[in-house]
Amino acid sequence: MPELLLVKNLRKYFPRGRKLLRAVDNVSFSIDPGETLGLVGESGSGKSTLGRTVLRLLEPNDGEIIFDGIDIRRLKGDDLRQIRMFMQIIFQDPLASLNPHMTIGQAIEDPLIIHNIGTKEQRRRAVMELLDIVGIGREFIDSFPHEFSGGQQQRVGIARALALNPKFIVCDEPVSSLDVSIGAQIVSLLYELKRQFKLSYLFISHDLAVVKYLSDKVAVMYLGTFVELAPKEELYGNPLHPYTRALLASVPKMPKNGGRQRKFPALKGEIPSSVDLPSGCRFQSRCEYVMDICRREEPIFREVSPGHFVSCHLV
Amino acid sequence: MAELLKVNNLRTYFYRNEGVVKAVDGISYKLDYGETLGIVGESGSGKTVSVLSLLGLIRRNGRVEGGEAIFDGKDLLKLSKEELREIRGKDISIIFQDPMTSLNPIMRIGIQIMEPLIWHRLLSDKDARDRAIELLRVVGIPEYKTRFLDYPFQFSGGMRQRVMIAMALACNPKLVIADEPTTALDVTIRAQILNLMHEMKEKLNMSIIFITHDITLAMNFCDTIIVMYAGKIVEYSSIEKFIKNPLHPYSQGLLNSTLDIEKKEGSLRPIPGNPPNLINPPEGCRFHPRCSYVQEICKEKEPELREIEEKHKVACHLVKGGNLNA
Amino acid sequence: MEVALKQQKRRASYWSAAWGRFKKNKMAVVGLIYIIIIIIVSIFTPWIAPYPYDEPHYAHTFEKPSAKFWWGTDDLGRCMFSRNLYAMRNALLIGFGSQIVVLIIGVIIGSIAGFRGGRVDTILMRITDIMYAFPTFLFNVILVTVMGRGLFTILVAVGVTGWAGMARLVRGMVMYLKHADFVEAARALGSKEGYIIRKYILPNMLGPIIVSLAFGIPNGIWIESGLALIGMGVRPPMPSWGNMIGAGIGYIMAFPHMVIFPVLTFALTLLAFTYVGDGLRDALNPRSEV
Repeated sequence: MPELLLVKNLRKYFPRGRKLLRAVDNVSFSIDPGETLGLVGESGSGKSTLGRTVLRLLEPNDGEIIFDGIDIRRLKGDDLRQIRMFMQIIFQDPLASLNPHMTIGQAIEDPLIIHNIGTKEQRRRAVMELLDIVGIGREFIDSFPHEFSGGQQQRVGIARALALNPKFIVCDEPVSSLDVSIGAQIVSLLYELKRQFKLSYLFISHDLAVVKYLSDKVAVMYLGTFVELAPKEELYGNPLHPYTRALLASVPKMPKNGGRQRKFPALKGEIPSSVDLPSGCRFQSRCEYVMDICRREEPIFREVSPGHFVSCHLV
Repeated sequence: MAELLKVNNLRTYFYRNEGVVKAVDGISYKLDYGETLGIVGESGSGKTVSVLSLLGLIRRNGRVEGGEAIFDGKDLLKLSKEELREIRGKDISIIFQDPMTSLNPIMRIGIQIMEPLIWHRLLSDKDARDRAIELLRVVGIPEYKTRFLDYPFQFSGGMRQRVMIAMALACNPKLVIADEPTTALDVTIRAQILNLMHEMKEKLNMSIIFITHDITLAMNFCDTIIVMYAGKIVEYSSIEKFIKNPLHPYSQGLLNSTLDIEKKEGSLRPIPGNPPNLINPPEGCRFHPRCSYVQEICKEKEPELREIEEKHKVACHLVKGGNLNA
Repeated sequence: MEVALKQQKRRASYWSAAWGRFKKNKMAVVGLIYIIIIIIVSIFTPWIAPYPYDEPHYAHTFEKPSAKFWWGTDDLGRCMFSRNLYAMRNALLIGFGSQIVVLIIGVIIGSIAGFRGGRVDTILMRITDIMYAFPTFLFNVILVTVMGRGLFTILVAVGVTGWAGMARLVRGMVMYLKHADFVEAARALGSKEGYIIRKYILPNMLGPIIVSLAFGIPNGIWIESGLALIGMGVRPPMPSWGNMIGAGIGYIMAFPHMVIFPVLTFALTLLAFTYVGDGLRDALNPRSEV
């Protein structure tokens, strides 16, 4: 099966004074149709920038983005606008993602207007159906976003993203600003939609549990690059990179039968700045297994077993 | 164990244009010396208000309507502003969620740590300074001697939270209130801060009220847990009992809504609907519109918080003989 | 606090919701009514005014208010009431007119700076900073001296010196809006830039611009009167609140009506615009649910 999305050596830098902030630095991955890639990382790892660069909402500095066989970095004007029908985005802050001057009906109808689809009547019917799909009562079609709760607003954002029948959706931390029970509803909805419409997601989150629930494979990002990428079961069952291991260890687990965890194996130090990258391995300043070679040479992101990529000298 | 704090039938309302928001509506709990109590709930459940009300730290349109809060033999709700100020920062201190907005941006952090010590006339300037430096060392600030004179913006989020903890510990308080202390932090930093808090607790033997939306975290970190929903306590239990047998349908729903790395695909069962409007909360049990076990009695009569077994109270009509009979 | 959606309120468009919020502010409503009345009066001044503004009645100099001269007369026996009406008319013309100039210059410069960014932004904003830092009143005096003391030149002068704030406001909003999540969303949906500007960016800029204009009008009136007070305003015998107050101040002990009436209308007008501006500011913020 050919990939739906193939990203090769993608780079996105931002100028910071005379220096460069390497937000995304040489990242490659692929997503098959109907497959979900989870992307985990701490703040400042560049995961959101990666999501936006893949959609060309930010212009990459280098690399290839092949979507459905088309190199979207070469597209211009109308061609680019056409292909945007198939790739969508859902945002972290649902209220900020909606135009305060549009009713939710208008917001969901807008993609259809932009691409000149259907008559007014047909579009209204489509909006009604989308409201049903995301679980918002049809009577709220003329309400404004600020009259809604966060969860409802996020449902509107999802309906808008679904309006053009996309194949691929970037979900940029869609539940991290929501309450637990509401976040669970949205995760559940995204899970159902993925199965119902054979969607592919690039699911970005700092929450390892949410990523695991929705993804088929998972990438771990640190300071602009992938340190590990593997099928879900493999990554959570057999993490190889010291950073992945530390991340997994630092998540509190649901205690069962009195087995409580009071101490969490914690990484020392903090994520360094992407402007002044350490030489050699980017993780060396926090790695407990650091060796001389880690300080000299940057490890290569290589495949150690089928589908399992890792960049570490020690593996 | 001796009792440090006992809260009885606390009610705090907020007066807004649309009506009276019953943010906290008749809750009671107690806290022993050295105990860690977790208060879990979603936004609007009243988890924060239920604690900050005790210290007179609620917004101006809010008012404590009734109840008592006996701390160390004194009723906090009856104290004057002056007397409360004497207690705040000395006997009770608070760690907030966002360390950036709770530190004074134009004051050197060392001075900020010294302030409560001097304010409460516990130490001389010189001794307070030594104590502040010592505290920075204890909470794990690297190069603490030089960083003593830095400003908050020169610290990262995790380091700022450490400074907050140092400030909270400055006067050797009997009670530390931690309001979502790790929510704004990254996973690896969160683990560092939790470890630090645990270490401090062991060392100093203080009581902690840990307010959080993260039920997994509370279950790992606390001795006792309170689950709040819409201004009421729905379940109040020792952690051991709660882990074995969470009884209230909302507690169960919250647990089923919480993702865990061990959770199987497709096993998420979220609670339907939205939390209620606290101006006109639902009749009967406040959770009944979202409860999958709802029966007639739940719509009519408000359930009381009853003791089901030792150290385990639940407010639900359907819990009988230690089981949820649905 | 989550507000249950069951108690759905009356559906309202953005503007009617804003009107609903505006109506709750009593002072703003009173101000608006006052402004509407003075605008109507200003349009029909030549028909309403009992006398021409420059007609002297040498037999009736310094007269106190009477049935013949409602607000009395001045040192040349001219009708104070008529002169006040004309002064108000000039003030409103310059207040509104200068804000049209401000709007045009400010929006063009601010939008270009905000949308283009980079060096263009830096250059335009340095110019704006210079404008902002330059003593406005002095600049006005210079402009009026160069261009002459007509109503139109004063109006242009007040506008030309007052656009810096508007340019900064527009630039700030453009900078924020062009990367706002909902604009990114529209871009991700494949909309054209023109469509994004029309349906996503402009409607969200309108509110703050209107508020800024509402506060700009009294400022324009203020500058016009100031210029007139130091003799740089409209050319006498054309009245202005500034030159009327200036003339009356010399007789304040003997003939206080010569000062009281212009000062009162002047102050009331400024207050009305300020209250309306306050009301608009609260009403046009869709998130300030009352």
